[in-house]
Amino acid sequence: MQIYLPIAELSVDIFLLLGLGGAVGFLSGLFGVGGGFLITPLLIFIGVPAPVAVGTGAQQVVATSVSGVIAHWRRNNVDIPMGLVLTAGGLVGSGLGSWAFAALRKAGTVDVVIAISYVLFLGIIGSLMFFESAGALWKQRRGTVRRRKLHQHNWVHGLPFKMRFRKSRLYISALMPLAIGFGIGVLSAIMGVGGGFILVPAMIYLLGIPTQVVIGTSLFQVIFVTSFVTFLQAWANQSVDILLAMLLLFGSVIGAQFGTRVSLRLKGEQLRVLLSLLVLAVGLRLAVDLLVTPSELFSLSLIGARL
Amino acid sequence: MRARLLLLLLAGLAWAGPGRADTLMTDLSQRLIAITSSFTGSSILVFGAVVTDGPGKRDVVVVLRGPEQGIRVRRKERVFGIWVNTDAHPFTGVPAFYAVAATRPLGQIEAGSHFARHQIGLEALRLRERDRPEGEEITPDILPFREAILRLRQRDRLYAGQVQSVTFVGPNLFRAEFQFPSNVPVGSYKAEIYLFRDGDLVGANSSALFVDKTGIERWIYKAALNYPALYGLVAVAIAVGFGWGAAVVFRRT
Repeated sequence: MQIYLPIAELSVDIFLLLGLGGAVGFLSGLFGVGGGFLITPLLIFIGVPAPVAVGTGAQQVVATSVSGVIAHWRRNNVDIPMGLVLTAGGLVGSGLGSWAFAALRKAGTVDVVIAISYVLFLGIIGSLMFFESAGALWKQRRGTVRRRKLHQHNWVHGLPFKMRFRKSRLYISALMPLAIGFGIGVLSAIMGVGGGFILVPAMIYLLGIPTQVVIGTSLFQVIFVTSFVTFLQAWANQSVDILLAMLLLFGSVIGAQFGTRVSLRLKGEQLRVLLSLLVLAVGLRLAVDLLVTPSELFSLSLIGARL
Repeated sequence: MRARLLLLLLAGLAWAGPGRADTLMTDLSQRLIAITSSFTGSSILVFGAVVTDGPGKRDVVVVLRGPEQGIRVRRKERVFGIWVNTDAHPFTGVPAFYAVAATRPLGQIEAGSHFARHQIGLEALRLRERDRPEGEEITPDILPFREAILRLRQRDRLYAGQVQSVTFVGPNLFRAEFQFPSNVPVGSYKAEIYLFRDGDLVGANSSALFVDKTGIERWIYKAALNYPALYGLVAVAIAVGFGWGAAVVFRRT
């Protein structure tokens, strides 16, 4: 059944949109990533103009994240103080990132820098995560697992402004999550993604938060970032298609609920292996895009659209 | 309604009578292409009647043109082994939609310089690079960018690559049908009908038609355009509401 989308200005099959939304929502609930890095390229693939795909993707991710956060909240897996500190850093970072992006663009070959750093980043994070979590799984199976300390104490714990993050079982300086939120904010503004799939490994490995809590807390942070992006896109570019978003999020909010249920059955290590595979797959796809000679070298965009 | 229009045309023909110069009368099957939520494309019929005075080969050419846009064309090149966008050129006067129909392939029609002057046929389209004075020739290095516009627009079925046919029904009446794909841009369009005889342009007509969204499609589109801040807030609110609703429903089941 075809439906015409008023902002994207094309007609697509309703069931295709529902299915797309459902699949991305499932992954989102499972891993605590927003899913923007999946839905946006998929929308572009079915013919939605790029600015509309970015704006509408953000709106859909807001819904998925709200649905996921509530489900995780009920299982007591959302660390709100941690989420707020990350968000505060993220908003400042994305402001600075947008400014840096504009400056880089003026300077010239910004696209090359972004493309290469993106692939390297995904590749490194994905591989590190994969080997760590696969190793942990392997040790468990052999039964040689030792009870680790919750986390190592080092210079980070000497920093001022210490805060107690009860759910994360951490008593650390607020400067640490603030800095991580800031870094993710800069990166996401430059790369044009929500940053959930970078934030999740950062919270696990840099902050040492338990994987289950990471997912709920990361989604909490994603709500704020993507709401901001949705508003900005609608306001500045008129590129948010509410009808398209509603069809997508109808599927994705349901998908997110199933994803959350599955994530509760899996062990932290198993989740990390799966997420690392997803990150590697996205990185690989981008690398292929960059290296393989494209069939069409030219692309058109309307002047006036700001993206 | 169409029958009535034809009657009108026939009456016109009778009135035109012999002794007068070439006469061209035309009309469109509809003046408004309404985009509804079930829109999957549409078609339009351009029809009319010609009376030519004396001998000679006559040809009818119909051009359907969409609103003009500014377009930025980007080209990818290999830099340090990877493919990235390097060059970009802005163009103005790019029609959002363009299709031609004619009684014969354009190459076989004698038209002198009329094709170039009236931009008949994709080759004759004057796509100007922005920031360059009118009339100045496109330099060879820009040529691939111009060709890219034509190629990509044909791929999206917004430009008709092949000339469609104008068919004659009897000695005087002609018709030409045009297809609009579902991604047809909104705006005001123009149907131009030219009558050629032996290399001379002996008659021309044009009619306006509109492609516009109606109903809920129009409502959403206008809201996004006219109240962008409010629209953004509503978009966020809808997303939060849906997410919340799903979580509540799933708790019960």
